[in-house]
Amino acid sequence: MTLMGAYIALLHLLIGLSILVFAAASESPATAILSVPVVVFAYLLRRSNAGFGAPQWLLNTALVGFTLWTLATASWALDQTVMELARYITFIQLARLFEKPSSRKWAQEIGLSAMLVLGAALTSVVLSVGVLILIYSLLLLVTVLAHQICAGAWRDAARSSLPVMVNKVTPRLRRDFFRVLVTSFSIMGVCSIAAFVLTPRGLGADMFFGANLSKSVGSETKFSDAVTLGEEGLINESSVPVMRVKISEDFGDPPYLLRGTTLNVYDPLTSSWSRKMRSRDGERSANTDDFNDLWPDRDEGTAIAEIEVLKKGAQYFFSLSRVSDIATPNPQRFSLSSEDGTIRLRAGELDRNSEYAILSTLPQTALPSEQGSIHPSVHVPFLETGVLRIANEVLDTNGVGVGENIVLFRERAAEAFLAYLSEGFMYTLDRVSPMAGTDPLAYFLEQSREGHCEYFASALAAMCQSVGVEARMVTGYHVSERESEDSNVFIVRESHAHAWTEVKLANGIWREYDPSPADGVATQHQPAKGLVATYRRFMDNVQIAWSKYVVNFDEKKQSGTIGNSLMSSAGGYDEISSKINQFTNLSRVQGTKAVLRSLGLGLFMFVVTYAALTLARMFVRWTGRKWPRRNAIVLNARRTEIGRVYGALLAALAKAGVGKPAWSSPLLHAQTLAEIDPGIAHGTREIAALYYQTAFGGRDVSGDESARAGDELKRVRARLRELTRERALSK
Amino acid sequence: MKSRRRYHANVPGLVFPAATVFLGLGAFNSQNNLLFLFFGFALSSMVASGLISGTMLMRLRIERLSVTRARAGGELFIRYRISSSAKRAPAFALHIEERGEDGWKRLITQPAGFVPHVAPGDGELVTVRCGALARGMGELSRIEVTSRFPFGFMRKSVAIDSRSAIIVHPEVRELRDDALRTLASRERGEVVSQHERGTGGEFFALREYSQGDSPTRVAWRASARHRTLLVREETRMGSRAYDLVLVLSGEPADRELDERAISLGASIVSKALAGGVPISLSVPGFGVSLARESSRGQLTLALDALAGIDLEAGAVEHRPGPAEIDMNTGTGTVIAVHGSGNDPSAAPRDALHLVGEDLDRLAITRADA
Repeated sequence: MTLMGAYIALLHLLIGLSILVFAAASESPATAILSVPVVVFAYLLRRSNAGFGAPQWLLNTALVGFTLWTLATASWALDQTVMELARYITFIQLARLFEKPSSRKWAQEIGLSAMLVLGAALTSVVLSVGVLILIYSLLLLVTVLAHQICAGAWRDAARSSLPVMVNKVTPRLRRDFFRVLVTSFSIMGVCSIAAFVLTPRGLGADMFFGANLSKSVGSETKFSDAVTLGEEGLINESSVPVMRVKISEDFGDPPYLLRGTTLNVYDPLTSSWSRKMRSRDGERSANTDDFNDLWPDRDEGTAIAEIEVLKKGAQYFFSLSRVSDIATPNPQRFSLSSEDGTIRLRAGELDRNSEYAILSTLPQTALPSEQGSIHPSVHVPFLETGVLRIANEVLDTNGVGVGENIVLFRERAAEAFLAYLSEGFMYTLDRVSPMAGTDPLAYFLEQSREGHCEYFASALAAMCQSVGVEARMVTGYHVSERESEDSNVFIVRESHAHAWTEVKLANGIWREYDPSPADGVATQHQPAKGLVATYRRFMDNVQIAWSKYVVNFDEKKQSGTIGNSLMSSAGGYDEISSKINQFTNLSRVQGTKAVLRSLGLGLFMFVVTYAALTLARMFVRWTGRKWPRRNAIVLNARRTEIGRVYGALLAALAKAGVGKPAWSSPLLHAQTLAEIDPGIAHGTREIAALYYQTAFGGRDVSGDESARAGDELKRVRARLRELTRERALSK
Repeated sequence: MKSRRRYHANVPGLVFPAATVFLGLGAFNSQNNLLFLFFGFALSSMVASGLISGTMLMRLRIERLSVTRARAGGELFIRYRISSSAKRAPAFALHIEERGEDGWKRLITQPAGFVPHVAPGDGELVTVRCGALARGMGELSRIEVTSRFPFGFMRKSVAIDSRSAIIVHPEVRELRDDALRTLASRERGEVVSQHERGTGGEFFALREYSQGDSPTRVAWRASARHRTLLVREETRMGSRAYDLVLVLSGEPADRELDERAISLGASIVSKALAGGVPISLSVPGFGVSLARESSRGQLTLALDALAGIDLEAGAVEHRPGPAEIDMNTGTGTVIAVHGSGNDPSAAPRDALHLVGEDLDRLAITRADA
C-alpha cells in the first residue's frame, strides 16, 4: 500500500468513527445507519479515482439547503443545539468527502470529526461512549501524523506540477512511524491524566451559563419518583450499576427494600400517583468528620446502610427503614420528612452526593390496640371505581370487618389484599395500555391481571385506601445482588428499581408489604451465573471505576489522589482559586449578562483600536503620495506599491490569456505582446521596466512615476477587456 | 556549516491554543469530567508536539551535493543529501527550501523539495527540480529545512549556510540547418561548398543506414533502387571558422535587446560547434574573449561566459573599435550580433551584421518542425 492510500483509508475510517461515536452518544442509530454507508461509498470511489470531485454547485446547493434547515430547526428547540450542530457537522463532513481533494480540505475534515466527538462527550458520559472516544483518540493521532506526511507530499507535488509521490510504506517507515506514535501517545496519555487529576474541581462552575443546559446522557440515574400507570413499553432493564450498598447484618437476610420516596395520592384522571404531605419537611444538614467510624455506640435495634452513589441525579437518600441519623463525608443540606421519613436533597446538591450512611431503626413488629372507625381524613378516590368493589369482595370473602381493634382490621385487610394479589396475577415487564377511558388500575385488577411492580403496589395501596386504611406507594430499589459470595456489599442496578406499599397500622407504625410476585421479581433480578456472571462482574468493576474515577471525579477524590497538602502548597493556588471564585460570583450575583457585557466591552475596544490603526495607516499611505518622499516608510510603501501594480498587471494578462511565461523576461514578453496590441505592449513595458528598476536596481520611485504606473495599468486593463470582448464576439 | 534553529507561528498554531482555552473554560463552566479530559488531551498535544519536533530536527544534517547547469526557460536540478545522526528519533515530513541572499531569485524558481521520512542514522538523497527563469550567475547561500510534524501547530526550521554557484545559460534555440551556410555566403554572393562531410545541407554521399541515423536522412528513392536502406550525407557548412562578436550596449533601456543578442549568439555558437566548426567568441566591454575552438568544451565555456555577462552592471571595459578586435581572419567569417541597432563601426567592415531579432528568422519554428 502507498502512503497516500493508507492515509485516505485512515481519514475515511476516522470520519466514520466520529459519526459512530456521536450516534452512540446521542442514542440515535439512524444517524449511523444513514451516514456510515455514505462514508464507505466515498472511500471506494476515492480509491478507484483519487482525483474525483462531484460538481461543486451541487454540493454548495445541498449545503445551503441543509444550513437553512438546521437554522430553522435549531431555533425551535434551543436545548437541542448540540444535537443540531452535530448533525450539521456530519452533513458537512459527508458532503466534503465528495469534493475535489486537497490537503486543506482533509485537515478541515479532521477538525470537524474532532468537533463531532467533542459534541459526543458533551452529550453522553456512558462507558461505551468513553471507550469509543478512547479508540477515536488513538485513530486521530495516527491520522494527524499521517496527514502531516501526506499533506507535505501533496503540496510539493502541486508546487512542482508533478504527480503526488506514491512512496510505498516500507517496513522501516512503518517501524519509525509506530515509534513516533507510541512516543506521542505515551506523552499525551501521561500529560492528559496529569492534567485531568490536577485541574481544580469546583472552581468556576456555571460562571458563564447556569445549570440550564441539558444533562449528559448516562450522567444521571434513570430513577424517577413519578409513577404513571397505563403507559406502553418496557420499564428500564439497564444493568448499569447505580449504587453499592453495604448493609450491616442486623437487617437480616436479603432481599432488602431501599426507600426513595412515597406517593400517597392517586389521580384517576391522569392515572398517576403523587406525594402530598400534611406537614412541612424539616431542613437538616450533615457532615461527618470521621466517615470511617460511624456510630460506634449505636443502640440495639438499629442497623447501618452505607451507600456509595455511582450514578448521581437521584433527589433522595435511600434508606432501609425508619431513619435515626444520617452521615455524609461532604457538607450536605436536605429535608427529612417527619411523616414518611423520606430524605430529599436540596436542588443544586445532587452533584455533591457521592456517598452517605443511614442509621435506621429496625421495623417494629408488636402492634398496639386502637379503637375507632375509619379515619375521616383518609383520601378515598376510589368510590366510583371497581377498586372499591373488589376490595369489599376480598374483605367479605376473608371475613375481615371492623371490630373493636382497628389496628387488627388494618393488618388483616392488608394481608387479605396481599393474598388476593398473590393468586391469579402474573408479573410482567410489558406495559399494555387499556382502552381509552378505562382506569388502568381497574383494568389491571379486573381484566388483565398482569403487570409490573408499579401495578401491584398501586393496587394494594388503592385497595387499602378505598376501605379507609391509610396506605402509600413507595418507590426505591430492590436489593438482592451481592457483589460477591458471602459479602454484605450489594450492587444496585437501574433494573432493580422497584415499587411496593406501606400500610399504616397504627399511629407512627407503617408496615412494608411487597405485593409483587416474589418469583417474578426474583426472575428479573436474578444474578447471572457462570461465565456470564464473571463477565458481568468484570463489566461492573469497569463501570464502577469509570463512574468513580472519571465521570464523578470530584474535589474529594482529587484531594484523596494528590493530597490536600500538595494542592495547597502549589504556588498561588489559593489566590488563583479566590480570583476565579470572585469572577464566578460576578456571574451568579449579577447574572450572565454582566459577564457577557464585560467580555463584549473588551472585544469592542479591540475592534476600535484595530480599526483606528488601520485608518491611520491608510491615511499615512494616502498622504505619502502627495508629499515628497521624506522617509523610509513612504519609500517602502511606494516600492511595494509598484510591486502590487506589476502583480496586478501580470494577473490581468494571465486572465486575458496572454500571460507571461515563467521563463520569459518581462521586456521580451512585452515585445511579443506588440503583435497583439501595441497599446498593451507599451503599458506592459513601462510598468515592467519600472518594477525591475525598483526591485533589482534599488532605485526609488517618485510619486509621479507611481501614479503613471497606475494609469498605465488602467489603460492596459481596459484594452484587455476590449480585446476579450472582440474575441468573444468573433467566435 | 553553521546552523540556526527557529520557530515560526502559523494559523493552526494560533487557533489550536485559543480553542484549548475555550475548551478549558467550557470544562470549568460545566464541570464535565470528559471535557476536562479533552482539555488535558489538547494541552498534552502541544507538549508532545514541542518535544517531538524539537528532538526530530536536532540531529539533522543537510548538504547540497550538486547544482546542474540550465538554460533560460529550462529546468535546473539541485541534489541534496539529508541525513540524521540521531540514534532513535526519526524525522518526518521535511521540506527543503533555499533561503539567504536574494540574488538567485531572479534566475531560478524557489527550489522546494520534500522528504517524507529519514530514519535515524540514515540519509536520503533528494533531487529538486526548479525552473530557470533568466540567464545569469548567482549563488545559493543557505538551505532551510522545515517541518510541521507531528501536529502542524508550529513550523520549525533549521537553516544551514552552504554556498553553491548557479549558472543559467542563455536561451539557445536551434537554428535551421542552412542558417549559417546562408549567412556565410550571403554577403559574398557565392556558395561555398566544402568537400567534406558535415551538416551543411548539400549532398555529399550515400551510405548504408546504421543504428542511430535519423529517419529524415533516409534517401528513399536510392534505397528502393538498391533494395537496402541508404542515408544521405551532406557537406560541411560553408565556412571553415567563425568569429562571433557580440556588441552589447549595456544600457538599461536596451537590456531586452541585449538579451536577445546574447541568445542569438549562444544559438550560433551551439550550431557551429554542433557542425564541428571552430568558433571564437568575444563580447567587447564585458570581458569575454574566447579563442577559436571546436572542442566540446568550447560550448560550455562559451555558454558560461555568456551567462556571466552582467548587463545590469553595464559595460566595464572600454569598448574597442574594429581595428582592435583580434580576429583570426583568414578563412573565418566574422559575425557581429548587435543588441540595440546595427552599429557597423563596432565590427570589421566585412563582418556579417545581425541584430537580436534575427533569432526568430534563423531559428527553427514550430512550422518547420
